[in-house]
Amino acid sequence: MVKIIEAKNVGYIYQSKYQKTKALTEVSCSFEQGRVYAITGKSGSGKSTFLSLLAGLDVPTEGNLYIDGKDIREIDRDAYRMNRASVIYQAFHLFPLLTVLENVMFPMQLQHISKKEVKNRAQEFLAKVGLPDNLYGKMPNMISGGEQQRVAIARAMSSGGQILLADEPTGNLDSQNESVIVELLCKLAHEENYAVIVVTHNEKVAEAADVVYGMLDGALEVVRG
Amino acid sequence: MIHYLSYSLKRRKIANLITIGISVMLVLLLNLYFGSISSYQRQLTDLAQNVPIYCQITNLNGSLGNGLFISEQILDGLQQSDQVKDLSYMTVIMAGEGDFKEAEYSKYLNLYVVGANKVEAVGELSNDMIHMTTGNVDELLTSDRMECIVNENILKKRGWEIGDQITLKCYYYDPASEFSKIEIHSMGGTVEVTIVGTMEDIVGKTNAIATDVIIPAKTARNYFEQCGLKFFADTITFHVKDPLNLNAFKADMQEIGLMETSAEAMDSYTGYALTVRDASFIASATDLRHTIELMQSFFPAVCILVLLIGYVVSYLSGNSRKDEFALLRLQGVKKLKGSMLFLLEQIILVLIGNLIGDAVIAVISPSLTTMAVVNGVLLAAYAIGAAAAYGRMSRGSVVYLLSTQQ
Repeated sequence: MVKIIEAKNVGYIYQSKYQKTKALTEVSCSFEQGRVYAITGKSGSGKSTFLSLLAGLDVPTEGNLYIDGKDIREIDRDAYRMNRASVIYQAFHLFPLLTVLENVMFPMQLQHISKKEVKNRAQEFLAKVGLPDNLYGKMPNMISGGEQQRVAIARAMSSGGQILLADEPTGNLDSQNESVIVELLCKLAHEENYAVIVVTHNEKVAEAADVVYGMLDGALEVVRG
Repeated sequence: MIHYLSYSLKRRKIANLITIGISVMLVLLLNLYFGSISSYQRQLTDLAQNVPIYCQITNLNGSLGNGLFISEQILDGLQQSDQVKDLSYMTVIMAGEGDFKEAEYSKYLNLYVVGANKVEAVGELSNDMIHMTTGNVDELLTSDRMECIVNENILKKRGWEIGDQITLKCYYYDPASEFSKIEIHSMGGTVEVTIVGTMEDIVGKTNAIATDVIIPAKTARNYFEQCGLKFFADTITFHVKDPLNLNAFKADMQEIGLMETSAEAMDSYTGYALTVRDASFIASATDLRHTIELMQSFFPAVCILVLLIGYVVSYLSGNSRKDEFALLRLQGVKKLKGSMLFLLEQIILVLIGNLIGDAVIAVISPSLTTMAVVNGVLLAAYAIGAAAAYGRMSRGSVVYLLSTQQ
């Protein structure tokens, strides 16, 4: 398998006006397509910070992070998020002004795909995540949490990037929806060849992952691989 | 991105209406401000018509405005000056009917003949007091025709009729006379003029000069020339053409040879001083200028106020939409593009507000110049304020914004 993301001695220091906080220390690991990775750890252990670096929302203050063999500092990180990696969050983060269908169409519209194709593909993605078509025209605040998270996954799929980063994706869901989302994430990795990296404290999610990393005080270690 | 903009414009109804409402209010307020300035400027320009500056040639001490000897040089200078308008002048000649012996002049010399270039030059006479059988009095008085208008009482007394040709023996006032001992001398020979109209008798009704016969001023002047005599005007009055440029006017008058009146000067019949009645004009113009300057001095403050309103409205709007901005960034939209999207949205809303405000103003008091200035100032200042607000918003960390939403 090809390593699409590789971290080498990655460190990150939060620097405020008054103090420096070391959030990550010499993190080294790699991620491949077709697998589900779980990064577990207590709150404040640095796992969300690491996910932000993987999403290109920030860059390491130490070490190197390679995306498709290129240092993340040297690539266009906005284009990376637009075309290669998508992020889903515990709070779903759907565009409040767009309908369910429009939310899923949005990443494809940024890629200037034709209007007709955008709509067809968005409907396909929504069907894949099992969302009934009577919800396509609803605004996000009119559907349940589980449904919103499925829309978020469909939107992540619509960018076509095949790297899916998830920060506590089941944190706001009941157990039934939790299972649906976990199942969807695994399906994406195993059937659609996505690299799925999930930050979680949920044991069910960790159990479903192919590889589990544990993070403690900014350091990463393999728990199961 | 255009899709997102159109959704946002359509779906953020209340927030957008508030922004449009603020923009409409700003248009109205700015129109009030700029409209007042242009109204005062118009009043200043119109002041020349509403409060004309009247000028009169007097003797040096200013005690006499008519019955003067005003030289041809001064008259010609005023006629050629581009600082003078509505120039009226006249000259007075004594005459008797027919040809009589010079020794008998005191018996026959009983007609006041006035050479005038306008009806108004003859005291308080006005066009409606003149009755012409044919032609127009203004046209007659600006010509050099050998025609005249006769006082209706004189016409009756002497048994003259319209169309009659009358013979006049004329005498002129001697400019070399001593003060209060005015002398008259024959101009030599006789002149024949045709009666083409009558005038109502104004003597006694007003303080007008006694006038029995009116002939065109040029005819009178030509007659002086034919007789080898120097022509003198009796009275000259006029208005300043451009009252807002009094300095240029005064310089021109000095060049013509006119002096300022001096109360200490001796009495004389020579007219070479200028009396300018500009006090009320200057007072009104100064008041208006001060008001305009005061209002214009607020212009930077007005721009800053609009800029601040643009900043505050956009800042508040941006603050409530930080999560949207972070989401756009998360989807790979560049910081500048995301900020520009929000800025463009604000500008579109302000533009809509401008158009509504303009429509209201167009109904109340349309002024294209004021509208253009208002729209320009509003859009520019508001856009700068909004750009500053969205620039500030875009500096926030996407990670922080998304994590606070959790």
